[in-house]
Amino acid sequence: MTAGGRSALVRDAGGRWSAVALLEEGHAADDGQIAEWMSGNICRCAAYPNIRAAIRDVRDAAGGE
Amino acid sequence: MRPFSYARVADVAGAIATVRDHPGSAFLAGGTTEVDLVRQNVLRPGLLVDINDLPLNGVEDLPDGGLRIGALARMSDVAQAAVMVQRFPVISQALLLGASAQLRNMASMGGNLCQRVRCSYFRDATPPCNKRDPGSGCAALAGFNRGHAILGTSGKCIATHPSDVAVALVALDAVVHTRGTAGERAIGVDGFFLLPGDTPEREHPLEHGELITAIEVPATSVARRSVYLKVRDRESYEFALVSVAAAVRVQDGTIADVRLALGGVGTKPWRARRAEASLLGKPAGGTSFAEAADQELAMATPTALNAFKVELAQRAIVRALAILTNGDAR
Repeated sequence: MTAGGRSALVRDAGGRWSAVALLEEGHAADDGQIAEWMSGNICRCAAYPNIRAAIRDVRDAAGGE
Repeated sequence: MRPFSYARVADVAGAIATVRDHPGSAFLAGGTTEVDLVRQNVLRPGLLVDINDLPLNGVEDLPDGGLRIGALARMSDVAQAAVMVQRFPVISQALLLGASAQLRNMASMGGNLCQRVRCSYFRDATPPCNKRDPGSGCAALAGFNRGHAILGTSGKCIATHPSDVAVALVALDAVVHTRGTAGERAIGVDGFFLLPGDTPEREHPLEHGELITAIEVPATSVARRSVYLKVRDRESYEFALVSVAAAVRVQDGTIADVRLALGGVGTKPWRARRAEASLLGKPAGGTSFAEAADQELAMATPTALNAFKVELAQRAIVRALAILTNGDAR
């Protein structure tokens, strides 16, 4: 997980719940889908690309188990 | 925010009786709009009656192929229901293009129909607004009205109805079921939304204490081939500038059945009956689509700031119909 995405999600509890939920519900197929299902969570440092990368990392790690 | 009382009720009869007996009270469902407006002093209830414990959250298959959606079913659950995706894609799509995931998890279907307008002059408790303070005037008429309505407007109010799913429901002739002190009744969804006219404060034909219990979507084979197209300033988490709910059945190249409704342009979810009448029996193609769109928007009453919505709506209608018929939009 990238540092920028991780620190943003550590600060933003709502974003963290959204990320967990979209992964569980299978809405992380691509960046467009991740962006749409994270929509509504405003990040003060605009780390959106890193947040998406962090979610991709979790998705891919889970898929590799 | 002013202090208010709060009550939580466990059954429908108790909910209705509690609101009926308290003149300044209102039902509270998901609260995604209502709580904001209470905080902003736009709504000033004496009592909020929380109805979230009522058993009104199912999505039920009806024997004739229709659907009965409980008033407290959450937008997210309704959008994901397999039967909705298969039989009424336009409803599912409209729900998923509205708000954000968190709001959809919280907001109820009945509450969605009752949501208040996004007009900034309504949502700020200070400027004149005939909806918020009847008779005070309308600051939007000469104000910043880029997002306001171009259809169904009056000299008293030009606020746009904000719902997406209501546009799909109006296209499919859904029925709103209510229960009040006078008993149960069924209201066609088009009639559930009132034009502002001289009484913009009155948005629905509901009596005080009358509760939406369900929304019924009748069996409609044309809905299987349907789409919700939403055009907005931002790709996500934004209200529509223009939206189109469309369903079409083409037979031998000719339009045999069509449903069309517009969002983002009307003071109520706008059933495009002129366009529908124009399309029936015509060849499914760009010329027919453009002609129908022109006819529907011919009655538009735009302001200088929102005049762009006329052409945007025409183009969106043509595009939605082209998507459904795989035709050429030219």
